[in-house]
Amino acid sequence: MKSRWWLKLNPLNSLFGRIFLWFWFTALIMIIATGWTSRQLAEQPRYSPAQAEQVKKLRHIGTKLQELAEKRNIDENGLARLLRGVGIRSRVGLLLLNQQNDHFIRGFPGNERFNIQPFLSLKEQTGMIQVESLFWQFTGPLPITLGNQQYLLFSGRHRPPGMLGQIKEHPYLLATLVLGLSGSLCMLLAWSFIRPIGQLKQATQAMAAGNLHSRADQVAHRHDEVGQLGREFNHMAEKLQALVDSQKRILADISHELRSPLARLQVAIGIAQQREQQVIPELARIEHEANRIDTMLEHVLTLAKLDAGQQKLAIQRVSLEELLTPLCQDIQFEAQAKQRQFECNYPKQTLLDIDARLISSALENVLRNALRYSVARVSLDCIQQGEQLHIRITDDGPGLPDNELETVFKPFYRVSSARNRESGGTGLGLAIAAGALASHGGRIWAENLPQGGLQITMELHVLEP
Amino acid sequence: MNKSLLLIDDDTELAALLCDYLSPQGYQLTLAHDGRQGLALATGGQHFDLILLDVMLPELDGFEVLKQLRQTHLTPVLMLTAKGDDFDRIFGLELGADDYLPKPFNPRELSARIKAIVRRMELLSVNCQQQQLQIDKLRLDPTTQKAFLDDVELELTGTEFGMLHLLMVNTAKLVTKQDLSEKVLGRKLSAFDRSIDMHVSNLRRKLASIADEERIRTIRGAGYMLVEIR
Repeated sequence: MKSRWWLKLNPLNSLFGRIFLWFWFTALIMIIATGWTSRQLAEQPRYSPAQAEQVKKLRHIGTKLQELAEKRNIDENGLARLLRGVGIRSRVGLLLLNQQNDHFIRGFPGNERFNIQPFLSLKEQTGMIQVESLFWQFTGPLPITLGNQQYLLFSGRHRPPGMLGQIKEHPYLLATLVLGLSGSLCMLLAWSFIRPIGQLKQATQAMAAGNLHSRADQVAHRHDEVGQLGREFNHMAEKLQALVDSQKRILADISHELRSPLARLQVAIGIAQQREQQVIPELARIEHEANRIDTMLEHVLTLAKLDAGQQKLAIQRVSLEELLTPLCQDIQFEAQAKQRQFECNYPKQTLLDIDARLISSALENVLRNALRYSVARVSLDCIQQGEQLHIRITDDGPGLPDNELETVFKPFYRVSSARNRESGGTGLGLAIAAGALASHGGRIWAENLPQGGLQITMELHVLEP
Repeated sequence: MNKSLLLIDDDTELAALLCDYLSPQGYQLTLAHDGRQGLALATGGQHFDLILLDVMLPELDGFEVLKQLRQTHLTPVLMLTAKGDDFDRIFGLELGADDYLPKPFNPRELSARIKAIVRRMELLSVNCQQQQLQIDKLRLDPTTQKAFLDDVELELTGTEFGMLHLLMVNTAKLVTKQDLSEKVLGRKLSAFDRSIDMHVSNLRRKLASIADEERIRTIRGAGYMLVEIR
């Protein structure tokens, strides 16, 4: 489909449109807001014809003022007090402008910066009008004489200062408002960009950590460019998972298929041995090698099941004594044959909920491995740390290069192939041990000891006594 | 005397080889290459001393054959399970197989297992003390290979009968799992092998279906003990 450029402007479907329209919109809002506010804040008073009611009221107040002033014969200070009193009673604000000296007397409280300019321009005004600005609305002037002085009287009221009024009175409020509004809008914009990217990042990190099931599903349903990226990511993850799975499966499949010919081979060897009266060394050798393939197939299949999480665990409650005593006896026997010293220390009563067969064979693999590389001695000891039991198997062999401490748990990994072949390992023992521990939610790791030798620690959950 | 075996396995080449291997040892093999045919032979009139049953079979799989066979026949069954499939053998034992052997196997191991099962049947029926055993309401007759609880006959496989026999001979004494394995299954018990537990649990279930009393006690980490119910 030929893409139409204007589709890019749809903010729902395109980041481009979102960014473009958002900035445009923000700029427009700012321009309009600035224009409107500055016009509102300009101090041009508006003049209009006075309302008859207001005029009547003003005349009434004027008469009353004159009466009171004559009675008391007061000065300017007294006049201000009088003005305030009358104003309060009549519920208006009163303002006197001295016609001779342009002096103002104010009968209401208010801002010191009260602008008198509009009133001065009304000095020559004949007849009453209404004048209003943002904060007040006055009617006047009414010429009156008080104590030999000619005054012009205005009556009016303060308008309650609205939002804009407050802004004018407190300029920092304006700054805060503008900052807050534009800030939160931009924050919203930035957040709407960053949130899907963050979700995508999480999915990528999970995949990098080895979780091949990780998908960016929160992002993929979006219609914009990030959504496209999310779908591409999912596609890639799908492919990657299929690739890794098939690679894993192929080994298991081959092993599976090899079992039938191997079974036939073993029976055929049996028939040959049965027919021959004397022992033929080559036949014994063939049988030995067939058994070796047998063991290797079993290991590969076990590992494949553990890897795929298909191994059904037969969890049972066993004590360390039940788990380790027969195992340590076997290893002790082998150690003696190889003239190695084997020490085994563990708390007998500690209970574990495990698939004992699986864990026992994991321990056996690690112990055999230790025995294989040891020079004089191998030891097994246990340390309980809260709910975790650490079973540590230590040898006094050459240890491992630091960069191989992790890879040693990978299938078919061999430190020294020559030595391993001579000792008859399959290269899968430690990988199976790691898989067995992982299926129990435990861990296994290797470290070199400062005094030389390798220590492999297996961590398992224990039941509190 | 020749023993007759029924081998149910779809791998015809392997079956032929096993024929060659086992015939000189005094076994007469009948072959079946799918589950349906195997089941028909096993439940037909012919007597077999032992059935070798592969798990993966066309038509009916090994478990299904075993399940249907056990409804009418108590012929000893040795399951040939797939190596690396730990769950298969437990399932097989649960369904009433007498023992299992992971495939591929060393043929010597196979003939040892066959021998153990066949010999046990002979020993029980011929060599055993002819007298009946009776512990409270539980009665066992070695000559006819029949066991009764409350005069109701128990449908026991050869292995279950062997286990019950050993436990009754040693009433109120601990019988270790190793003993049970060596004397009844004819093999050494490997570490954490649950075969014995499976057989005992089958036995318990059958006893409980007649009278729900705890006759066979578990001695944790050691073995089992049959106790008299007062």
